[in-house]
Amino acid sequence: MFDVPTTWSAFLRGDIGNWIGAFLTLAIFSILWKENPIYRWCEHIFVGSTSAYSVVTTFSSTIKTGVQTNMIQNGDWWEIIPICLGLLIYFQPFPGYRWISRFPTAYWVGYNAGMGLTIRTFMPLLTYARTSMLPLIVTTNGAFDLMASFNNTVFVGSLFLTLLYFFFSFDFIARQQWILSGGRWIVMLAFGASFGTTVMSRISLFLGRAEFLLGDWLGILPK
Amino acid sequence: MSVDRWRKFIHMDKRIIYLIMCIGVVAPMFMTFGLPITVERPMQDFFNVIENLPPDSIVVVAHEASPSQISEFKPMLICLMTHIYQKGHRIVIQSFWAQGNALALEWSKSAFEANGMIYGTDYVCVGYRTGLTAIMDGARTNYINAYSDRDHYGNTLSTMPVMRGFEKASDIGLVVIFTGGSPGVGEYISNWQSRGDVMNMIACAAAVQIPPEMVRYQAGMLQGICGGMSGAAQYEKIMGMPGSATSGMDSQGIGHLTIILLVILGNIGYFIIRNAEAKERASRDAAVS
Amino acid sequence: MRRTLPVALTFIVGVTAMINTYFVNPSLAAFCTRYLARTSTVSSAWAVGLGTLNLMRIHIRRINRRQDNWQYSVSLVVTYVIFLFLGVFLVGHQNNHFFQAFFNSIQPHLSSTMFSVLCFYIASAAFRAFRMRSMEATMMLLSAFIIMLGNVPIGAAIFPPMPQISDWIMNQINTSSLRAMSIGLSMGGIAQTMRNLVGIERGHLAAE
Repeated sequence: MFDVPTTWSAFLRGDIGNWIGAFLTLAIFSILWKENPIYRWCEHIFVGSTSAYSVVTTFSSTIKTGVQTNMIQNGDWWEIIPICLGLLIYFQPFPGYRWISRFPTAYWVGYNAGMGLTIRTFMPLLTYARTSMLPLIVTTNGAFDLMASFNNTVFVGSLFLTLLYFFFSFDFIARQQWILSGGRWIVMLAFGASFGTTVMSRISLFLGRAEFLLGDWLGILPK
Repeated sequence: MSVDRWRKFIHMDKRIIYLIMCIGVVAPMFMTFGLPITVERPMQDFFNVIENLPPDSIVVVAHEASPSQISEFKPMLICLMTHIYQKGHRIVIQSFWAQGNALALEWSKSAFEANGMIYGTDYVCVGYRTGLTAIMDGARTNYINAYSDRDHYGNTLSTMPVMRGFEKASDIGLVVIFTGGSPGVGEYISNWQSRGDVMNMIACAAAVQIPPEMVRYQAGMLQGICGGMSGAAQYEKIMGMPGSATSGMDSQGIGHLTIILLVILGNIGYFIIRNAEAKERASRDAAVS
Repeated sequence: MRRTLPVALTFIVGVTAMINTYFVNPSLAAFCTRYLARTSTVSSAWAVGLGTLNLMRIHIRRINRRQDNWQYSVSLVVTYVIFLFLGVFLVGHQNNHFFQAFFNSIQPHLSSTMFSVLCFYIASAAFRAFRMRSMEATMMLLSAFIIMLGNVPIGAAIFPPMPQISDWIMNQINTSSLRAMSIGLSMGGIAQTMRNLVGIERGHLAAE
């Protein structure tokens, strides 16, 4: 274990860090002009750095903490069993011994499946079902509420049409054209709405980079 | 414009479209339209949930995010941290995304400094762990043990003042989930809300996640949503802290209009060409017959 | 034995976890939290290494065989080794001041920009492919326009009731449709989980 002087990190946090960031940003944006080696180079650096970071965080936060704190400090030596179980996954690349790697996978699938077949999964499903049962005729202060009734009818109708559209089990439903077109229309309206929000997300992504380039790096954005 | 010109137009070099889009988003950064921002119901509910929390509550900020969400999540985090601190609650940051914890600390730095918030007393970050289901299940009975009594930096959690009285998930007053994908809101609802541990949950959603979160909001699983950059701008408005989201809404507006205009022009071109081709075909058929 | 034992392990672990949530038994709950859940957390941490090991294997092989674009693989392997070395051997690991500064000057920029390119692709794709070819496509287009305009203040400036119309589509149509899909997905998920638990579905067990 070693450390480096804090001046090194201060150096990277200053202008030089902005310049590196700007170079990498422009290198990735260069793909918009055409395919080029600098983009490919940066793409590989991205994959390398991201995967290394995942390993480092997992190592320090789960593995090291487990060994140092739980085993050595607290004396929970039984944790050697999960460590060994986890290590069995490394038999995966060896064809003759690949079957050994099934044990950790079987454990994870079993644990998550067991947890999945509980209230964790059923509750959201039941909540969706319960809150979908809306009255089609709504009265407010004793008077018929046209708008609320219309909204509830549209909501319940859209829900049923979508459910039926994706319900392939009976031929009868598959033959009903009104269900198919109604369901398709509703799904298309929903996808259109999702597209609308996706556009906002994509513009936000670019805005972040534009703010970095024009603000942090070039400093020409009005404050 | 002649049909040939329309044909050329709808087959124009994609780089011209990129340039138009770039100008559409960047140009408004240098001017301010100052269009009024309306606070919508999901955002108002989001704000009210924090306002109505009992004093000295534990608020878990689950920052399930990646660096690309900076322009949406950073302004939300700044407002959120300030809001929670001003209301006198304690903050526990956690994330099941490898970079989520470090990003939350980095993006909230200005709020921590501006409010003089102290690490370990006012807020803490418990760090990243693998095995989400197991961690969240363990946290139901003993939160500190589930995190092996260590925070993001390897310090002992149990001795920190911020953790006083916080033993298990049911001690949490509110979970604020930043969601940019999976794991996200669904996992928190399944593991904590469905089993009755934490009922108060609100979400800060990336715009792309708004539709699925609206489903949960309408079903009552989420009590409020701060969605996308527009949600962040609304939060800044309520808090009286105009920032990058408020100024970004002008770029968003022109960016949206640019795409709408491109689609309309593309469709006009498509119909003109289709009609011209249909006419050509009809006259050819007439000549043959 | 090579298949039966893992299937049995899946079943035993799964049923134990399930029983723990259906019946209130303090000693079983303690066992599940302390051993069952902890084993899952600790053992799954090792799987992250396998993923990157495979990545390295592929790229080192490409370098050794001088396959097409092997030079890029060199940059990937070198970056990986540098980050891994610094992350493991620097004091404080990923929280070390230098590691953080080094990482922050490279990875977030690459990651953010990689995704921000989608802004241009979505504009280009919308211009080229979003056509009113049919009634369904027209409805999708109109819905997208309304939501897009309703999302930004400029939409209300152009047509004041736009945010209300946008909200109506989001609340009545989009939410109901997505809720129906969620119901279907949940039911499919439950069926799939049951198949995993009882060993009908064995896709997770690697081939020989």
